[in-house]
Amino acid sequence: MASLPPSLERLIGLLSRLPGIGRKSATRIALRLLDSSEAESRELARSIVEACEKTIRCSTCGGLTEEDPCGICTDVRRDRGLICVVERSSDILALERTGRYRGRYHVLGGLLSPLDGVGPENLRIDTLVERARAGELSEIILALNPTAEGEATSLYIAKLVTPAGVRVTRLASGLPVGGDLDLADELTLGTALEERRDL
Amino acid sequence: MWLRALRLENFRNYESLELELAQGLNFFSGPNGSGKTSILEGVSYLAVARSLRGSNDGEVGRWGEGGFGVGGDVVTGERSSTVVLRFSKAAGKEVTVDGEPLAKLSDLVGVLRVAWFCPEDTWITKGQPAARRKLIDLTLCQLDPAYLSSLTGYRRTLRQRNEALLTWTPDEESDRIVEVWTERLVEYGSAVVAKRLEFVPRFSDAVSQYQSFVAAGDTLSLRYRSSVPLGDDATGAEGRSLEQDDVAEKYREALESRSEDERRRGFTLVGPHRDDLDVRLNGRVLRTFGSQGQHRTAAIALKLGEAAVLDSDGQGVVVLLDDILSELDDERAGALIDLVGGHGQALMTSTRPMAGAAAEDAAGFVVEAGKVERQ
Repeated sequence: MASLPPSLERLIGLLSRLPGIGRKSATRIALRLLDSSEAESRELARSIVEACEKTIRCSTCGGLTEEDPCGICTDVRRDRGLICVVERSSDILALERTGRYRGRYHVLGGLLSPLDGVGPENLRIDTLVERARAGELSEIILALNPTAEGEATSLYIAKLVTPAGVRVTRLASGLPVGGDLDLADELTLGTALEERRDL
Repeated sequence: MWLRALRLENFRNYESLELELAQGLNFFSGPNGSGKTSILEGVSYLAVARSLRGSNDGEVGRWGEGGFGVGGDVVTGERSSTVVLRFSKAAGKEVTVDGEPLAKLSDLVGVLRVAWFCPEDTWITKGQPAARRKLIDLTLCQLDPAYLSSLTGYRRTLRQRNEALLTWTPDEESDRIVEVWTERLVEYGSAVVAKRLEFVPRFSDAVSQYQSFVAAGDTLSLRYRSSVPLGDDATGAEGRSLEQDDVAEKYREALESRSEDERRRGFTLVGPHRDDLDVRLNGRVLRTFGSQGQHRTAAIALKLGEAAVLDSDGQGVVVLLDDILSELDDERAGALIDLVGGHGQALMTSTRPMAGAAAEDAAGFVVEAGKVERQ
């Protein structure tokens, strides 16, 4: 195989480190960039640098923002008594898309995992406890993945904030909306049955 | 259910293989290292998404290739569905059924069930408890996706908790971390134990059906022995099984009473990962007194019982018999093939050519250096 020019090779190498992009896709993107105008490439490069420089973490919730505190934390129309705890800031986007949630957020930045050396000190748990103790909160909703690590982290948080007199809830798991009952897998259907509620 | 066609791609020594299988007995003969077991291994991927030969996914691909593919047409009643599993080091495992990707591998449960029997299994009643737990786990996982989910959760939580115990220091924070993993361990572990307790009497009944095969007049029975002290009424073959909540309570108590010990030693001392299945012959635990012949015949009864339990809803099970003729005399081998045939399809390998009464009805294949010829 003919070798590529070193600068192009370097670009492909960097692109292929991005999530979801293998070497083939990286090569295609790099070649497409070569075809684009110089202005276009400069614009792209500049916006990458700008995004990295300007984006910071909100000191209150840990979400991504250009201003601290972030737009969600300062939004007066949002319920200040409600906090939804998520693992990553991308989870905020998912919850915002529902259009159903009018409280604020708290990003942990990971889940408890002794195997990976992640303890409470590596997560934004202390600031969550501070927020709970500040007295404004009535409920904390835990929206963590239903994995071993997610469940353990939820339990840990509940242990810490329940003494502060805050109600702690977690997202329900069950049937997908609009789905057919006989198409649901046994596990999902079983959980839905266990977590059924009164009409 | 049975497997009408099997396709292998860059799998072990097969670059590309397509096989039409018979609904009854399929007999693969050929020299050692020719690729007979790999065919059975391919079938195991379609059923449980992993190698029942005990290999890692990375070892299964043909040398020099990045990954492998296994496909098959599974016939259930009137319906036929195509299962395809692909593995690559970059993307991991992906399974599609009739072109639809499965969201999780556990969704594959129940599509195709297999019982695998190889010469090492003849030591199942004599060897380490891990082999007997594996027998229970593989059977239950194929019958109950909820069990698979609890077991996966348990194993993961056990590793996390062991790490938390290993790094434990005498302070409140460290205790809280261990407590959290303890509660999760009890949740998953009690589900695992409760299902095993419910399953073992059923399994025991199925195994005892084959006792005439084991030896006339002998009674083979199974008893689940938990490292969690559950009380006398919980583990008997005929006794009632405990509900998960009762198991959870006893499991929590057991962990509580060992908590100092666990913190000192740095790992989890009680739970389904330390349980065992007692195989009793005429009331005595076979492991401690059985002769070589008794172990061998008990293993066959266990495996036949496994096939029967997997087939208890009449859906059928594919029995994979890897080189077991070398372990049995002709009479036993013939009887075994007859019994296995009662559950539907079987794939059998041997270095010897096909012989005996069963051979007449069987589809024969000759395997040599990665090539398979229908006889």
